[in-house]
Amino acid sequence: MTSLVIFIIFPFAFFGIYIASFNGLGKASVKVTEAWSGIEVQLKRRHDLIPQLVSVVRSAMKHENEIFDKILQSREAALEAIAGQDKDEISEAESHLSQALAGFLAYTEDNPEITATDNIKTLQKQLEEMADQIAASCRLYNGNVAHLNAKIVNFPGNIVASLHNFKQAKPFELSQEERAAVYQNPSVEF
Amino acid sequence: MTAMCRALICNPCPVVEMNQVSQPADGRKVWDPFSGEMNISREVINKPGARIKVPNAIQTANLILLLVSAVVMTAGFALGYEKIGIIFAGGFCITIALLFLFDALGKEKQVMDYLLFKIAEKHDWAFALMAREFTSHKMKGPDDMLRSLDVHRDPRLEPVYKCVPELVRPRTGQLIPTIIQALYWGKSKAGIPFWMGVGTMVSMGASPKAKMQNPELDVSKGTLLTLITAYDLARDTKIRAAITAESPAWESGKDIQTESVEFNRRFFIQLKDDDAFEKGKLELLRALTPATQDRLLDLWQRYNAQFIFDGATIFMSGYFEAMTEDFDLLEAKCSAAVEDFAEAAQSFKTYVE
Repeated sequence: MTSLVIFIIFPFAFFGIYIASFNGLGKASVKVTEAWSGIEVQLKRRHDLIPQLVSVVRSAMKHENEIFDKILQSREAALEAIAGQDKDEISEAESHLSQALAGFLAYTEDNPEITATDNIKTLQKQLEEMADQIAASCRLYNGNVAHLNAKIVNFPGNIVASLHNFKQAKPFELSQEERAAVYQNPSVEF
Repeated sequence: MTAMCRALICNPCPVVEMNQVSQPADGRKVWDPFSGEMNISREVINKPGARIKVPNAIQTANLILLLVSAVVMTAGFALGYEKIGIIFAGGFCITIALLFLFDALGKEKQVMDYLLFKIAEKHDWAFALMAREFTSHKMKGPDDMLRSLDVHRDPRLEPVYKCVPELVRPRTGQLIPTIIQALYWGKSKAGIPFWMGVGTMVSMGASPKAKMQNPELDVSKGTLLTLITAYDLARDTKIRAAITAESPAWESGKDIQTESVEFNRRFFIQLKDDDAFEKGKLELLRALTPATQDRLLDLWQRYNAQFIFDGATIFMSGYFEAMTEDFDLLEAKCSAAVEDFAEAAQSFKTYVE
């Protein structure tokens, strides 16, 4: 009976736990990738909205080309950063873009006649909604990262992870400027 | 009336009975998730007279004595110590009688009914008090030893139990049933028409979460509020799905999965429309944006919330420990819950639009 336990049941239990750990790590890793795609989708939506915003407002803000130039340059840098897939660069580029958009929103607060049309109001609402979605998708991504990292750090996942080269993921953090831009709540009066 | 309910409810809608029961004084048109638009007014509940509030410590001590006497009585009879069993049976009966006496002296039910009415009055919501639910046993036949358990509830609640049973009955992941003692109809601050059912339970002692959230209150006794709400989105989202609580012990993994591990762990997501599964799944996943998922998770954290999406209506249920009998605090918490749920409904509607 003892030899049955030692030579059959223990190995089966061991392999069962090993396989379950490996699959759990794989699944968590896939979820992190999936959540990152969610962030990219939201960032891309913002990038796609910007040319539309600029073309609608440019005629009303003829003497403020500097604001538009900054927005468009930041957008280009953000697109390049996403293509490079470096999270730190993406975070920095997005924060610059958010600052540029915040500059535009601040200008419209001081000059409400610019936002007198429904098109611009709609675009402003969409920008605010997108900031909301970006912040939320970051939170969901970071939740998935915490889940994966916990599996890699805890036993027996730490052994399986080291054998199969599973690495901890880095949370996607908003930089201080991005945080300020995202949580800024401009009140536009028309 | 929601599409689901149209299919499920065979009897005529009880709206006619509701109009006959309500005071006709200020009948107004309100939105109801089960019968569409209807006329209803606010039932008036009179303030209860003087009451004797037995201190919480005495009530708690009585409960402990009740439990101890029940255990010792059972053990005494089971193990053959009949004298001990009889003595503690007497004690058990006395503690039960004291329980009813304390309740009668404190006029707990009348006070709570009045508080529920005051909430409606303060917000100018339509209001109706429900008859108390009770169960009875019925023998199936003279030679049949099997009994059936009949549940008798206010007929106005039948549509709720037929249309959204997942939100009212206890189930894996949500062991506390949603009790409905009063119904409200009104509009949120953002103008979204809503319907709400609220119930209360006395809780002796508080969970660690309630203690943390209410450090300044006496948490030896309080009120557990259960609520179920419905909001009119004014637009058919073409989504019919249930997002209910997952068992905390394990995740089934057989439901629809989103990109968030936390969301999948907390909720069991299933479509209610099997005929158009793939299309419905796509619509649902598109509507569950990161911001919506984040909001639903927040509601789960605070209210143990669950949701049913049915076309142009969202049903939400949850509960929270108010840990107070103070009207102002109860009213504030109730109103906050209505607004929190309304915000989630609005977020869902905004994306779909």
